[in-house]
Amino acid sequence: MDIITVKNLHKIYKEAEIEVHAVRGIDLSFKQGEFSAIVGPSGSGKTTFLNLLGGLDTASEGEILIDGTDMEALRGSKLIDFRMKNIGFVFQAYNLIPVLTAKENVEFIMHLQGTSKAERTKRSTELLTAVGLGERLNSRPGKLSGGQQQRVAVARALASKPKFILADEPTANLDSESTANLLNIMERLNKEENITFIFSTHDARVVKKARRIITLEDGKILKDEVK
Amino acid sequence: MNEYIKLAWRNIWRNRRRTMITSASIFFAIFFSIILHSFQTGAWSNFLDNLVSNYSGHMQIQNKDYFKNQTINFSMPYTNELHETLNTIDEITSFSPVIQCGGLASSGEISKIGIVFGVDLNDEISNAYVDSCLINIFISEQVVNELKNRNIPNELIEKINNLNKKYYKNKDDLKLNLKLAEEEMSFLDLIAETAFLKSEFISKKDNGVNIGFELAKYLELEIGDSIIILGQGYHGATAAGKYRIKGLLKFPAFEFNNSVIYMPIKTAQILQSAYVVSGNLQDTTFLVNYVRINTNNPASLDKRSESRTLKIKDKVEKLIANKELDVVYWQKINPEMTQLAGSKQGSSKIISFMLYLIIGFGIFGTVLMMIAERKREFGIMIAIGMKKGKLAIIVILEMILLSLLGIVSGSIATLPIVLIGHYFPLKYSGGAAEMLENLNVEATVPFQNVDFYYLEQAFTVLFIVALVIIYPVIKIIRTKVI
Repeated sequence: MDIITVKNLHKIYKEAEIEVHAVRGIDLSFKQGEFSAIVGPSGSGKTTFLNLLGGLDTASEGEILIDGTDMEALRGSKLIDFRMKNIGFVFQAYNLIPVLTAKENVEFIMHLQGTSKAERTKRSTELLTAVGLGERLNSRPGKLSGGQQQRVAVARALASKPKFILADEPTANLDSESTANLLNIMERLNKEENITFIFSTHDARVVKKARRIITLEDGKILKDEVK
Repeated sequence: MNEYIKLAWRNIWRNRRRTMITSASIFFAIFFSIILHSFQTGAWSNFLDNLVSNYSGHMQIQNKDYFKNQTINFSMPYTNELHETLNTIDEITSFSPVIQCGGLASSGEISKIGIVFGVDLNDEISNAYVDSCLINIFISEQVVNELKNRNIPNELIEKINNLNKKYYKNKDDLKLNLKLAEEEMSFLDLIAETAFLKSEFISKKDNGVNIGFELAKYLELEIGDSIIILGQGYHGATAAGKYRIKGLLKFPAFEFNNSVIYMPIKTAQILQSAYVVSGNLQDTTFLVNYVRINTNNPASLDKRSESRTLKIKDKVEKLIANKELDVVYWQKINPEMTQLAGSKQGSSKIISFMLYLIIGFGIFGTVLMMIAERKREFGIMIAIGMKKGKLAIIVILEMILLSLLGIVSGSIATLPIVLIGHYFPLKYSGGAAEMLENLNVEATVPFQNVDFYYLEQAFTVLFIVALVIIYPVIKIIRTKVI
């Protein structure tokens, strides 16, 4: 069953008087449990496409259906709520809240969802243990390595029990060991808990792990391969 | 909410130095504003209360038409019932009937307009002040000549001669005006004894009066001489009387010295026929211009003092239950004084406003930096599910906490200064002290005690924060996720 359906998606940016056509008519769908990578050279539209999928940006034309809900019809608080409940984000620069501990960062999104304190504590501890940070629950981001911070970001993305996780260049700032570690964790979560991951990446190690590789060029799909 | 407070608290310490600088600016603004307010309001309230309680009183009971027509014809009966009623009111600390009128004072061929004050000899506080104004030293030609024969150095005789025909209340007053050198101090007692003038305070026993020394000089009168007073009494009756001068008075105000005649209240009432006889003489009711009342609520610039005054006024009105009488309070009796005090208070408000304006810009600068630094973070928080309204609440909480740091620490820092200044007030010295004491005003500068104005300062800062915070809230509402 498709959890994401993209139809004729366009995104045009207007910078000064120049129009930049970042996404040009993408038609695509993702099924539950996919472990997909979107690849392509810089400027090919990977990040723009991911932002559109995540509801962080609005399309100029086309449709994105998440479990049947048209993302383009959502605005303001409704969109924020929808994102919180359905989509997890992992960013290249981790973007954890620096004044909160690893555990509090993971709990934060559950707090926004109105989850009880006991439930928050239980789930955040489980998630951080699952990403190998059971010993660093009370460390603030500044005291964690880049790899550890990205693992906290993965745990945070999973905290709201989303339908899928969008990861924008998640390994770009990590060394080989941390990258391998992070990919193993995400692969395990994908296999064991059937969580859908969609990456945008340049990293060959991520591409190697992905089971579906979508190549973009000039905002269009060049290739869509399933291993 | 606890989570948001925790987050806000931690956020303000992300840039420790900036937080310290911003809260220090609030600290100093609060500190100086409170000290300035406490000092100015305390000093003015003290001055005001001294003047009000010594002269007009905190309140007056008057005939309802007296305020517009201040003559004996609009006087009021001072009955035993009224006296007893006033005695039962706890808030009243003292009260005394007052009678005053204008009249022609004369001696021989000379005459001059004078003001007659009927003094309630039971009003010890007011009488003590008048008593302290009695002149006991007069440097006459004769005194100078007598001192010349007493082995006094020529330079000192010269100084004494310069004070010829001058009156002084007492030895201290004389000392201050003689400007004696250290080696001349030993002659002070001799000079005071030689120039002694026996002024006595009026009493019930005789028909004596005390008059201003300038009036006495004009009428060429001395202690023991008689003064004639002629005027119009109650309902057109002729007011005429002859009185022996028991003492001369020296007040700080020239106009007073030039016109004042003090006599016992009964004497003044009889002079003006200010009484009503109903049936037989035993039923005579004496009239007074008004009854002066002092209360346990000092005259002050504090607005709450006025509301307490109004409560006491209402209580007095209710208890005396006489529709012919009005109770007027000091702000109404002394509008100029109220206005002057208000303008003085206004100046301290302007200084406070400027202080707060400066910190307003300081806080605004902090907010601008904070927003610029965290623009991306705000976007991420919104992306992961935080609503913009909640984000705005966190930023508002941050600014409130930051302000409270300055407000609370600044207020606490003022406490020892304000409390010491209130309970152990600064004292004026030299000429300023003498001038105030002459006005029967305590020569001290007490700070206003810890009071509602602390909250006023806190709310002022929070109000500024509320204005400043509009900008970040707008910025957050307009924040784009990417």
